[in-house]
Amino acid sequence: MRKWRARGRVLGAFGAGNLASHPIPDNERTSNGGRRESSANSSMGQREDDSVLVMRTRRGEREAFALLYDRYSRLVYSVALRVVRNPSTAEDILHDVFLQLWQSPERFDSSRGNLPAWMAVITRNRAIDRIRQQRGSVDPEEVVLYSSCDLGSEVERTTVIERIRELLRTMPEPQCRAVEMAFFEGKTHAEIASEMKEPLGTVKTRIRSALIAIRKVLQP
Amino acid sequence: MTNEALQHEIHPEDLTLYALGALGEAERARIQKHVESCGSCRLELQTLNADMGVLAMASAPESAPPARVKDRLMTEIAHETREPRRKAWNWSWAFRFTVAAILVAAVFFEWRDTRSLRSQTEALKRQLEHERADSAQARAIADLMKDPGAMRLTLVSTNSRPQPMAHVICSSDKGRVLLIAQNLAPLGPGKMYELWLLPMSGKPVPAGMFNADAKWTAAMYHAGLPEYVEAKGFAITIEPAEGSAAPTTSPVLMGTSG
Repeated sequence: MRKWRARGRVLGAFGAGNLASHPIPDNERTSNGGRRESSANSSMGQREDDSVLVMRTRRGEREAFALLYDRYSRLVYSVALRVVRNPSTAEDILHDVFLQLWQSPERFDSSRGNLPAWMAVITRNRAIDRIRQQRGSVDPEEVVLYSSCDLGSEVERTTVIERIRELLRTMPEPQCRAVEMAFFEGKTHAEIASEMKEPLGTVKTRIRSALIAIRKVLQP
Repeated sequence: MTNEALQHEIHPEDLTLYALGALGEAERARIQKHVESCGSCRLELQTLNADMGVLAMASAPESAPPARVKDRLMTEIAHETREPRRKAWNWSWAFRFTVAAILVAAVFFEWRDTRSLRSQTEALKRQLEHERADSAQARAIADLMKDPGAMRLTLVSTNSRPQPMAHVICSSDKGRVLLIAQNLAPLGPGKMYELWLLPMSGKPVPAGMFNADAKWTAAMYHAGLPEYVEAKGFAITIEPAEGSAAPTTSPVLMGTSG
């Protein structure tokens, strides 16, 4: 964990190198790594909407659940690995997140949020709880998400992610570091302020303004 | 939203840290208590969750999980009935005897419960018939309202302002809604009308904010609705200008589809 706190790696984590390799859902990846429209998503050869697949999962359709797994397992695994830095633990989190989706698909309210963003937050929260050893945080399952942006659309998601990456590339290093420590390392603001030798208020403002900057990218 | 949070003595920075789980225990508990009763902070929290989701999606380096995870998962759910699994029985004679005794008792209680269930079933049948009658009446009303040949008149008091009225056109597959309202009083500073989509199930979904003009009319186009959410109706409430995550006042106008 400590090596990731080093400045170079942190910038790398947010910087162009790693960010340029954002997860492409498995079922949209060709053999040479490019994107393609999935023909396996439905018998009609069209990409079924996430909310439809969640609804079918609620009815116990394993095929729909498998499609959701193919679509977002790479995202969930990547986020988990980003936090826990341990492939075995990341696999456990991936398994748990999808098992939870299978057992309680109603936890995702398609009328209030986008599935990929919801899964990313659930995964991040679960992973943070792992590294904190249940120190106590927002209930990792009780995430309600509201966005005016449709991240279920592959095109819109790709566009937004590219813009967020560009934003992170240009973000001042101390701000980037504060977000890194809070979001991916699960540190409290007091711990961050102590490590960075900065006033609490400065740390709070940096983190808040970073998320607001991200929100502006999401707004139409 | 920032001003709203400040009004509630919750700093937006603290709400952000709360969303991240980056607060100490005491502060976390304080904000959690506040969020439970504050619609605008809940909406802000939900928006912060979306911000976090995008941050996670954009920042995680690409990593493909091993195929064994899917194999394990699919094998697991193939045997899962979404009910607690039965453990393998370790039969012993004493255990069998116990089970037999339980079964005998169960049969007795089952017989007793069956009588109770019969009376409950009868009550449910009566309720169903009652609801069917209500449903038939609702359909008749809807048919009448949709009848293009029916006469339509709005009767109003002769010495008062006409009643507020709003027309909503919504496309659920495109997530768009158009609202045109009339006879609606303009709201003062800090207040706005908020339109709510009432889904077939679940809680109302924010569907845009607007105010009436000096002529007491309003028009609003909102394209941010979640797609494929079937609406059973719409409602309008008066909310703080920053909007609310859930209605905080009684609807001033409400309409549901037939």
